[in-house]
Amino acid sequence: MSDLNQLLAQHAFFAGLEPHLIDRVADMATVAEFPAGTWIARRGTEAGTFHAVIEGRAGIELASAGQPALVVATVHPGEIVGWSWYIEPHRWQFDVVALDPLRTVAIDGGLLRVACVDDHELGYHIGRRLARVVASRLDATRHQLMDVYGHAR
Amino acid sequence: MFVLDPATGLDALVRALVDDGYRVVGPLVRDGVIVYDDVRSGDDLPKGVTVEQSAGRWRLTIDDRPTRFSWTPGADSWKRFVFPAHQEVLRVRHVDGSFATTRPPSPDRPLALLGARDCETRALGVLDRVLIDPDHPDPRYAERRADTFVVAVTCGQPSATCWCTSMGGGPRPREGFDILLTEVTTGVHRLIAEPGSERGSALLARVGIAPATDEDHADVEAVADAATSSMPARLPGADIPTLLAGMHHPHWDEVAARCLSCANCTMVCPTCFCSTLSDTAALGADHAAGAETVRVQEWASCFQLDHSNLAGHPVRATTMSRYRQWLTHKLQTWPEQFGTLGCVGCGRCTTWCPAGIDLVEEAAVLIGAGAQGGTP
Amino acid sequence: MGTLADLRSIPVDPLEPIPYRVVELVQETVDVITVVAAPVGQALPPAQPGQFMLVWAFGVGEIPISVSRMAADGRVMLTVRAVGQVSGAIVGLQVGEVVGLRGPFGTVWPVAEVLGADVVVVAGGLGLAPLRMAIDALVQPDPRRITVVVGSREPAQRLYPGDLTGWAEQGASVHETVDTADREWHGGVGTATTMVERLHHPHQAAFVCGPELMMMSAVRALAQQGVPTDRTWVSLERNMHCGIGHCGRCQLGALLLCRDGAVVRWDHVEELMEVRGR
Repeated sequence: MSDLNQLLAQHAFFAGLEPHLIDRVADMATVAEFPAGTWIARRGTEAGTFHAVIEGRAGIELASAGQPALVVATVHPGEIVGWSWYIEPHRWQFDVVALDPLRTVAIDGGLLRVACVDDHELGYHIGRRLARVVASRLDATRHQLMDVYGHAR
Repeated sequence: MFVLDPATGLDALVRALVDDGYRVVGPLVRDGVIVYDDVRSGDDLPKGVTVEQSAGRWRLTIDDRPTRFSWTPGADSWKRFVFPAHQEVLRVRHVDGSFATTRPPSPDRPLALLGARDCETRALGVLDRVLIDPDHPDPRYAERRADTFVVAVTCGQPSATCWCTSMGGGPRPREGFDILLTEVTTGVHRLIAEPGSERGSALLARVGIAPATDEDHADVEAVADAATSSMPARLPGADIPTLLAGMHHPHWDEVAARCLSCANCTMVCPTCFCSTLSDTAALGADHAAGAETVRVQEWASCFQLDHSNLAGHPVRATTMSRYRQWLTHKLQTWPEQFGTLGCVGCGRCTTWCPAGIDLVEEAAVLIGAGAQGGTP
Repeated sequence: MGTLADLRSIPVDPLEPIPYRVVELVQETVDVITVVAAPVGQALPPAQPGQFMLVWAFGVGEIPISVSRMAADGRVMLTVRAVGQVSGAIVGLQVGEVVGLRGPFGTVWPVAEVLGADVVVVAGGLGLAPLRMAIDALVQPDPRRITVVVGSREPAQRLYPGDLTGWAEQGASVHETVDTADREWHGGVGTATTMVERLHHPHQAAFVCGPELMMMSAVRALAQQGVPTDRTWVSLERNMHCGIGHCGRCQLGALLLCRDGAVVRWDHVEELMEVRGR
């Protein structure tokens, strides 16, 4: 098994995928490194690649004119950055920055999307994992919306 | 057991208690209702009074009969004498850069409660369990209760809202009294008195006119039996806590649509103990404003919006949730908290509800659902 | 009636506050301070981890505040945020002024019961205050078995940052998260639950304290990770008004939280917590 295959197999997002499916994903992937403070993705641009974080934190940022940019979520090792590649119109919805020196497995979302249409077994497993990520982020966002610490305790 | 004359014997009993240094509190007819307040002689007590009660209704009738206990209680309960609706707890005064506290003076005389029904003696027992808990006995309550002399009465003519037999009681009190009176109107009109304590026994020896006969005993039983059979068992009593399931039952909304959240039921309830503490500045000629503060304890109600709150925000913001709290506390969670039922079956909450909500009927609907396995 | 007569004169009035003098004020965040108070005369018994005291501001009123730490000389540390009239008066106290204390009241984090297990402590906002002594007691004997997850609104509102560093230096695993931050922030951005989901090593017991929504969410994540619900404790808050189970204000189902809480085992309250307006 190549280093890349191993990184993917051990990553929480891909954990449990059959080795032949890991192989298919590995064919579309490469290891990427980002120094702290560099951009991983820019809002509005084409979402071609997504990242399985291996080391360091990525920050999902929102900026509005006249206000300082805010990190609204951090992505940690074992988690993924980006699902815009999977959903139309395949453009990044947020800015993503490397908060630490960041190591990821960068995966070509365009190729994986085609592969998912081609191979429904792969498509099912990827879709299911993405749904879990989206659900968890939605849950977190709803709780953050409640501003629970703004009230007592 | 002794026999007392309904006129002279009762008067002698009141006067003996006064002579013994008690503050005697008993039933009086005032403003068209039965209230409990200070009595000085037997003549103060009602005569020929009957009471008709139903949901949202309480009516008094006086006729020329000589009966002394043919009525059922009004909104008043003995609670306010042992646990006043408003009482001073402490005075706190700034002294030498710190503060010093003083307690209000103790009552000058012990209480004698005259005419307590079984539901009412049991209500005192329920309050005792709450307020004289072993870890933190309430000193003000304990002091008032310590020497309270209780003259109980067998309930000869229960009202339509009475349901004590469902809640572990009955017309004839079994405990919690120093003297128990039973009024007999068959044959010679008389009061049969039995002692419940040594001091009760000693007092009866002074005021009783004759020892009770077997016939008197039989008449006491007959009065109690007749009263019991006039009261249908309305709910399965001790089983209510487990039957009353269903926090999401639709009936909570149905009853909330009728409930005014006025808190009457909790104010007339002889066992409701919720209270609030507050500080008021004491204004007096001898000290500047702000130098002394009075801590006051007042009755509170779970129907008040701010009764239960979290950082100042109400926890039970709807009438539905407040009614649910009242009923589930009274009938369901109280035994877990204090080892007794919280309700004694006196029916005051039903009678004095301005919307005529009958707690028993509401509980029956909720229990019906619980028994059929409603949503827990 | 004989037993009642024995209670004719009870020397201790549980509603009577005892004078304590403010000896130090620690500004924790912009609206949170810790009042350090020392007994003027007689001291109250020391508070155990998780217990609270009723703090009385002269002529204003009384509120429950958890004891965040005890000092050997009887000093009590009370961390409070100004949200209402009484807490506002307490936050506005000056060194040298006197407050009245009653207590300590309530149940205790079962530290002895979980020692030896891998314990995760989850705190949200001011919820770290009632957990502070428990974390001290857990970390001291065996720091490597202790994980602390702390959620705050934003980096400037973190409570006891010095303690968090200290616990980490002693060997505990400390994870911080905030709702929003700028890029300088060293921890996570997200909920305490998200941070709990990241813990990969298994825990056998949990102490959780914070806003109710946060606790419910965190406990669900902990259960998912295999922490048994009967080894999970939470601290619940209501208007604990009298402290002794007499006033009925802090009821949650059959619990009188001032007496049966604030620390309760999760499986005892789980069902109730899901009911709105209970």
